[in-house]
Amino acid sequence: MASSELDRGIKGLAGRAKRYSVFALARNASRYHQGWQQAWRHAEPKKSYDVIIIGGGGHGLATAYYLASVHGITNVAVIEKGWLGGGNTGRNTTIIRSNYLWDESAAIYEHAMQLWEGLAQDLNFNIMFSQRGVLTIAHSEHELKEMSRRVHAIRLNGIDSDILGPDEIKKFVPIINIDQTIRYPVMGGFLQKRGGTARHDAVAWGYARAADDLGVDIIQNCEVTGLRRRGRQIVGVETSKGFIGAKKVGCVTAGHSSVLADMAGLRLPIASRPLQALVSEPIKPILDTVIMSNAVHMYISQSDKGEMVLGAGVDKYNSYAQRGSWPVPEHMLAAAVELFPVLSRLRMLRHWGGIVDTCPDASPILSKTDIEGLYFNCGWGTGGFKATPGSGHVFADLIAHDAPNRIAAPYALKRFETGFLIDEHGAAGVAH
Amino acid sequence: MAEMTKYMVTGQPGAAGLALASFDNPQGGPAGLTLAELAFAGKITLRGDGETARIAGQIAGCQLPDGPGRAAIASSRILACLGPDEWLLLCEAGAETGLLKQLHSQLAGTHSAAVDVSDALVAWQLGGDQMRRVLAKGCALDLHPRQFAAGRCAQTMLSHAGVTLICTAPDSFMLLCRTSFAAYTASWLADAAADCGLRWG
Amino acid sequence: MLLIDCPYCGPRDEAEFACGGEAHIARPLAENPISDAEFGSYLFLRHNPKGLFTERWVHSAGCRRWFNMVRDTLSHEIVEIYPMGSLPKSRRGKQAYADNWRRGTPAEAASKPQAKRGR
Repeated sequence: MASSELDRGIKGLAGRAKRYSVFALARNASRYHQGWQQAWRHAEPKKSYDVIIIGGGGHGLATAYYLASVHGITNVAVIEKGWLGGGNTGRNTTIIRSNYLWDESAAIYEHAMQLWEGLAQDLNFNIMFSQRGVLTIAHSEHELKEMSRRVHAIRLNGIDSDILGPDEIKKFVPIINIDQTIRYPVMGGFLQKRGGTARHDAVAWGYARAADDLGVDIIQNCEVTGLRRRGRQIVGVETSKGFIGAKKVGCVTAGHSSVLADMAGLRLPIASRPLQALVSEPIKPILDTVIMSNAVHMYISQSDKGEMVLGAGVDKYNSYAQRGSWPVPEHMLAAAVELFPVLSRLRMLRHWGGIVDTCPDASPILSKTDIEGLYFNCGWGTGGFKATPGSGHVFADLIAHDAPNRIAAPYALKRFETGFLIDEHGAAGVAH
Repeated sequence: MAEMTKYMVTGQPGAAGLALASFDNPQGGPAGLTLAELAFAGKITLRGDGETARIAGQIAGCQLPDGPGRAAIASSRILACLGPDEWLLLCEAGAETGLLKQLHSQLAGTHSAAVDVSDALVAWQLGGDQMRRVLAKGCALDLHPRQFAAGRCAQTMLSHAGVTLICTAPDSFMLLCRTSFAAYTASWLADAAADCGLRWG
Repeated sequence: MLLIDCPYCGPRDEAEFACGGEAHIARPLAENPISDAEFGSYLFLRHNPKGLFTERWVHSAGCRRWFNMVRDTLSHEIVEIYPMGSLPKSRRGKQAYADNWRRGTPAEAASKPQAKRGR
């Protein structure tokens, strides 16, 4: 997985004209900013493409970008039923890390991490990638032991992970309460220093602009209503803008994956659940890392605007409503206030939900299907954002070669028949 | 933990081993919530069918409640129906031993169970003109006197504690919870009564 | 927040309940062997509709009884609540039950005991 072997597709972007400069800013300011070139075309669908990617979120746009930049496949359309990045990509709490337990997970999430580390350069777009660290807290003897096992497994895979005691955590996170008599005391934690956050919207926009530059058509406000086959071969998609032909179709629709699968008569092991998040009013910088707690089902960071960004576990029943119900954030905030007393008088400004496609083993699906030319990338559940570049990169490879590479292979649908599940509930960091 | 003990006076006689410190109504006048433990009250969990309940009612001297959510209240006995096959029989302290003997004898051979849970649960008597409003701060049930009148009962949540609520009279509730939750529940009630005063005992 | 009409306790807050996932998943009996693929489908694959869904719920903070529910996963409308061990009676509930891919699968067929035929 050395960077030198990894084709990040940056060669696809060589020689592009500069479009932003202080002169451009001055010029456009005098014209009321109406002259900026659109960052991507609003393409109308052609009659057919080599590849259609269904789903214009981070993973779908990344897939299209890597198809073009790494594999030279540019006759590609990304079809999005709403506005690009408006699904889970725009609703997550922006956490990035690669500290999972199993070898198969280490491979995909670390692959993503290495792409993250060069992504702003690759896309020539400020995605505000901040390796401020991700600290997961242990609240019991059992969690300390489990944590120790995980840290060693993570390190054996060449990924950074450090164990901290309560005093070290207090030094690292001054606002945390390390009183050992609270309901869930901080008994220790493990830290991935290379983990952190990125601006989720910027990731979608960066990939969209870069893919568009390479000739990919991004078609928004276009809903796929059917998958057309001839025998066992995909021939295209029915949409609200008519039929569009395709040799290959990649479905990257997260919480709506079962809806798409049903159109092809396929079954998936996915349950779509709400995942809620909220942000507070902006305040001065008080937290310069990401804290996660499995026991209290809470994760928190502070955005560059100063808002505290908080997330919790999934709601307990299936939903496509993009909202959850109140007891989930209420419990999470009660725990957050005990761990970070300074939060107690913050006003919460915005609250929303996404639709997460949870898998029985909390690991994703990257797979061919029984239908030739139809591929699925889904099941990322509560942990998709951190994998965005890695997911797109290996899915593009899968589509281009019609075969999974070493990283994608364990995530085929077939594992639900063979029983080779990759159980990452413990590392998901979010209650399922 | 610190927040709970600020209301409690521990090491007291009674099944729960605790008392609360009374405090005045900040708006003047009588305390809005009164709270007293029904120390060592007899409590028997009954599982079975309608016949089980009929036998229990007969032995205890209670009518048969209409169905889940209804309680039959006799002078010192309550037979509360908590589910399609579950009842709670409450009696004066000490009476449970004799009642259980009779129950086991008359229920022998039937598919039923009568178990002494006198120590597993704590029972309090609530009163005061702010009683329903104080409970409503942590209980999602409709506790309006028309909806939760005398003879109604419910298993529900009071903040984080699982409780059984019985309306014994228009201005009086009985509240039961597991003994391990006694300190939490009592402290929660005291905290919830902060705006209207608490009289303990 | 759902308001769920428990068949025994009446309308209660969603917070008093736990959801047991998809309803009417019948376990294949050992006496009726099916292939690994069919068993894997039964065990792992899920019905995940955007629309009417049959679910199991338990009133964990109340009477602790299980019951079934037909609920719309987009609007959260509760269409029907019906006893554990029975099937939906409403028109929409029956449709939700019938539209589930498990109907007619080898695993579902294998959940029924074989009639003894003089063996």
